Amino acid sequence: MLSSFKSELRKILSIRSTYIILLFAVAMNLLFAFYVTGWHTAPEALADPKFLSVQVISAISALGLFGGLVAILLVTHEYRYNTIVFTLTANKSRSQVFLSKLLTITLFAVVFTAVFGALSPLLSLLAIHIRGLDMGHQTIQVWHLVWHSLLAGIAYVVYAFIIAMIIRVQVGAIAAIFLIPATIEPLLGLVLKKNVAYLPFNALNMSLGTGPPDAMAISDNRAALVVVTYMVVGLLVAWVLFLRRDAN
Amino acid sequence: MIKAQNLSKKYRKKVAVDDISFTVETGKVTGFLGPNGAGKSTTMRLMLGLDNGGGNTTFDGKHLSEYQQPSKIVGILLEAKAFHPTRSARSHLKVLADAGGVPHKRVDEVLDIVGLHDVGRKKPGKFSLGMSQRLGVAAALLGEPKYLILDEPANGLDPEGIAWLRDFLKDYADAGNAVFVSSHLLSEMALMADNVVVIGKGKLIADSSMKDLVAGNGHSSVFVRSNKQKVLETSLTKAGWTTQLSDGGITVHGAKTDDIGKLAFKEGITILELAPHMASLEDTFLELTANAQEYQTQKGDK
Repeated sequence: MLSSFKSELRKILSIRSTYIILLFAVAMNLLFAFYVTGWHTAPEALADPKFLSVQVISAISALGLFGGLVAILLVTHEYRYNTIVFTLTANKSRSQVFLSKLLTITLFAVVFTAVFGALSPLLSLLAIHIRGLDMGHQTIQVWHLVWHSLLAGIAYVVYAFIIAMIIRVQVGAIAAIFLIPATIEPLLGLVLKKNVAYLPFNALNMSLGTGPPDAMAISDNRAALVVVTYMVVGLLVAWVLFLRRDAN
Repeated sequence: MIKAQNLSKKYRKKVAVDDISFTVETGKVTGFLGPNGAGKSTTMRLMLGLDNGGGNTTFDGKHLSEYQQPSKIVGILLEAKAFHPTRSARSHLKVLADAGGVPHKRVDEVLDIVGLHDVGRKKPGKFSLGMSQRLGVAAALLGEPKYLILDEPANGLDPEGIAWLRDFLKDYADAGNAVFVSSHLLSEMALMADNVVVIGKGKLIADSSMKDLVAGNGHSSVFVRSNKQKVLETSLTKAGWTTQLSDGGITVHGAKTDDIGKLAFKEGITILELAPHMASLEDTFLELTANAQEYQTQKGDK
């Protein structure tokens, strides 16, 4: 199991696309956290006691997609370049392969969330400091912020992993991770009305407090529970399909 | 020994592999032949559990999943370009080594074996087909497996590469391992394989030693020349063999040199020339698969 996990980790770290995606994420962070938020925010907005907490949440919400892309590439490259035949024959069982991939992308998600969750407020603070402004007293519910951020960071990546495992085609999976939250869920919202909060990506945003308008919102804890449910069910479906389908 | 039993695979209504059973013996190279679309690749994938279908395959009596380190049991090459194009050749092999629990020093060893040491740090996306095949062979050898399952490994190799592969696989089998290899290069297969499995349209057509397969072919014959051609021809015909006058002698179908020698001695005929003519593997293959060609060209078409 450990060797399989090492192999999956090496797969992520030994391809150029991982680093290109991470560079994009850093560039986006610089643009939004440093330039837009830190450099251009009105001085009075700095008095908000949740200013830094919002920075963390915004970073996770905006950059989770990049972590998801890495997860998609980890899975779909195997099928695109047919290396899945080596992966499966080198391991004792398909379940072991599935678990190794899941562990790898979860570890990646935790590191990714921690790095960008910390980098974003730091960049904003740096810009504010350079501008010579002071920030008001900050109230940070550390535990609440950490676990909601981690859950959201992991959920983005796990959602992407599930989509990739089901679709297996790179273009299709990438299209799905963009289309589901941006097009499909808003369209379903026309039918579902307030229940739109129970859709996977909406629930994910709710769990971070960045979902649809308040009138439709559910509590962040309830949203987190919905997200976990989607992850568990989605992983079960992906696992069963991974066991039963031909490896091509 | 690899024992494949009752392998079968259906794609909707099309039967790709139809209840195939055969064995791959240790210490031998077993050739796997069949026309395009016969089901060779699917059979190999079924053996490895990559495709879900009927039947089962055991390696020394156990399923691959029962081994702690399957990569030490079987090494595979199913497709020449099965690698990420921008991951260096060495990194590609390290990924596979990690997955199989193989130490990294083995990566350099296999790169040396296949002659790719100098390009180990290069991205294989721009490798030629031959170089890609060599990288595939390196990947198959990583775990020093007892069994090799190779699908068309000679495709794209230059003549030196083909000769190297042939010698390498024969030596590999001689060292107590087993090689199961498919190829359309029948002349190479004839030189390399000890046993042959032939399939066509998903069905098993032959499973025997190369020698028996070729000897049993209708194109095998014996050429005989004697001091009494007419008498000998009559005697051979009476004995039930088909004869044909050619090049100042007689071509006899269905008889062995021993049979003809004994008959001539009995009839008091002096034999001046007696030569067996073995059919080629190509003759045998074409005869065996005459009715099992999935895709056939029209003779005379341009």
